[in-house]
Amino acid sequence: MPSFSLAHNVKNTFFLLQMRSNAFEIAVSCHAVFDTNLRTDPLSKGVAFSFIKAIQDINEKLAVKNPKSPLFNVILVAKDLQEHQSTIVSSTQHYGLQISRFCFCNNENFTQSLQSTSVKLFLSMQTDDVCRALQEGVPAALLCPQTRFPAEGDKEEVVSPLKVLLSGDAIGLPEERLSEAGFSQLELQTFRAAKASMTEFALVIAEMRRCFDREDSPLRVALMTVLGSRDEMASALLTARDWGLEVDEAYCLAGASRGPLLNCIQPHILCYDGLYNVTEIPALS
Amino acid sequence: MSEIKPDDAVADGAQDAGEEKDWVAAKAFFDSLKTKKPRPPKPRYAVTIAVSSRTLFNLSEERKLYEEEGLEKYVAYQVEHESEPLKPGAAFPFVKALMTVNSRLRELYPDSEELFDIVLMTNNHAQVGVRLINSINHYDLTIERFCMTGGQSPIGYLKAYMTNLYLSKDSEKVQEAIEEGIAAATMFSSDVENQLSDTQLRVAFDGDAVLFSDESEIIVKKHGLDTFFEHEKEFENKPLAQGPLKCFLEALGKLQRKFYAKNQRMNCPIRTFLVTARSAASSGARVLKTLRSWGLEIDEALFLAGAPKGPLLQKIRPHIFFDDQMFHIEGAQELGTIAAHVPYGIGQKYHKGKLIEQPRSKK
Repeated sequence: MPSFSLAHNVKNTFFLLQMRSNAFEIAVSCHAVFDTNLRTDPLSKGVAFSFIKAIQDINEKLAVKNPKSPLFNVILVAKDLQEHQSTIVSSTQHYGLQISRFCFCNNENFTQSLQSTSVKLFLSMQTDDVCRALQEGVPAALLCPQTRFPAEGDKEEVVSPLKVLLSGDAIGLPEERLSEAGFSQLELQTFRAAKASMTEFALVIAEMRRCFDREDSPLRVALMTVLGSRDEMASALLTARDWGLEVDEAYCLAGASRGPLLNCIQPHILCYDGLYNVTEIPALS
Repeated sequence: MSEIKPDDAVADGAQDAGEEKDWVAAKAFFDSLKTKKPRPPKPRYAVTIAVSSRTLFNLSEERKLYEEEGLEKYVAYQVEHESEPLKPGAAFPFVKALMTVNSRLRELYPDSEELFDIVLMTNNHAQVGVRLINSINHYDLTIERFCMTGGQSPIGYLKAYMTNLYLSKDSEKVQEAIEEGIAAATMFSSDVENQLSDTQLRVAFDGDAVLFSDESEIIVKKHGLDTFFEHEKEFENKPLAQGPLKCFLEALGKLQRKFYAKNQRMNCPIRTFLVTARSAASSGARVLKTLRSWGLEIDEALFLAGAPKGPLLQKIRPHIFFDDQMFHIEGAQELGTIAAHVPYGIGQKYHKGKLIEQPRSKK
């Protein structure tokens, strides 16, 4: 049985802002945020710890720019970590992480737990989890650990800008073509699920992105087309624009290898196209 | 033929598997489109030319707007004029010539991936990309790969696209690329435009500090011509070290041999030229012997013995001419040749034989 608990003793008024009706709930995998292998108390920071701080930073800036802007609401999803519940909760408080809810579940039922919440996007570093979530109707995307480390003298944990990478294939590729191209039914299903989850996410990101200027924005959006070429890229750019999203960066591969390019782009959130397993991204592993 | 790629483009096993999957899927998708457009080649086997937006198209008006009124106004202008195709830029004839070679290669080797691959590599904002794509459509250019970094330097991305040659209007970026070991040059167009061949790609190279290192040029600058001649004669049989454009000449040579293999030597759509200030008698032998030791051929070697390059280039009519000295670039431009400056070696510190005062460092 999944269990939920509210964060205790949260005093800051900013947290209350997050409970607004246009909060966009993202569920982040606990394994990304903390290193749960080491039995420390508080837990040590995981590879994507700085991501949570970046989300908080964006929320603060959004609230300043536009009081009506949607904000991120973060839920922490902890799979098979029941015995560490109190350590996890106290660690989030220790580091000042603004987590609105905790979801403790098992590997078998985590997608069901997520379905029963109002989570709009589940983020995990495990591609298997992302695939499973998509296949079971939970919007999901990949959370990418950063390989670029802050320079000497950088304020600790400042990760800016936060980069979201959308799949140009999911936006611009006509579905009929994909079945002709030999993708399986399961792959097409995952593609549709990925497209739907990405579309909703993109609309929210669009609203947030519009709060900032083109230059020096703490949030940047990139578009990458792996299978498609020029026409699909143009189609994706224009469709995104129709959604009110003016992407900052665009990369069209037309079959060139995505690994090295992802290493350059260094996205934090990667909305994958669902077409086949993304495990072959060594830059992110 | 993955020797076409610079050494560190060779990847590890996991990356190879990923690369293969992306490639196979893209190919299947492209084939399903049943379009007349030629399919982009597999990067690992292709000669990849990355061109910036300002070299492919004439963006001088827009650039001025950006410099005077800033990014927002610039992007807004580009979006407003999105359906208006841009005018061709300095690299446009070169790109058309690459496409001509590709058609001939596809006729002779329909299943080969050893082709030219053209990538638009720009730090332009993605919204400007729509106008760029519309313009590419207008001229029916075969450019299917794009990298629009939205303000960041594209240099880090060159290797990700397996670039063999990078052309830009920005000499700082070009310099960075050369330092990364990628052949690169700053393009200059001229107001007068010579009529260029539309059936043959013609590429002209300077020798020292372009195909070869600047070791001999250093001798000229520091010790004068006489010492230089003596030195070159003495070391005639010692190959010169490589220069930044050597690998590009090598890639061209590999494609040329594909035509020779099919009896197309007389009709080869690629022709290369060496245009050097060296003189044949005193310092030319070393250059030819170096090329031979590298296994490279050059179709025509023209030794000018110090005479100006402009008039000769006007006769040759290359689609692009690479030189390390601005003096020669200017000479070429004056007489209608599209010139590309290679900012490498000791020549950068001199202008017309005189040592340049070091400029104040820019921002």
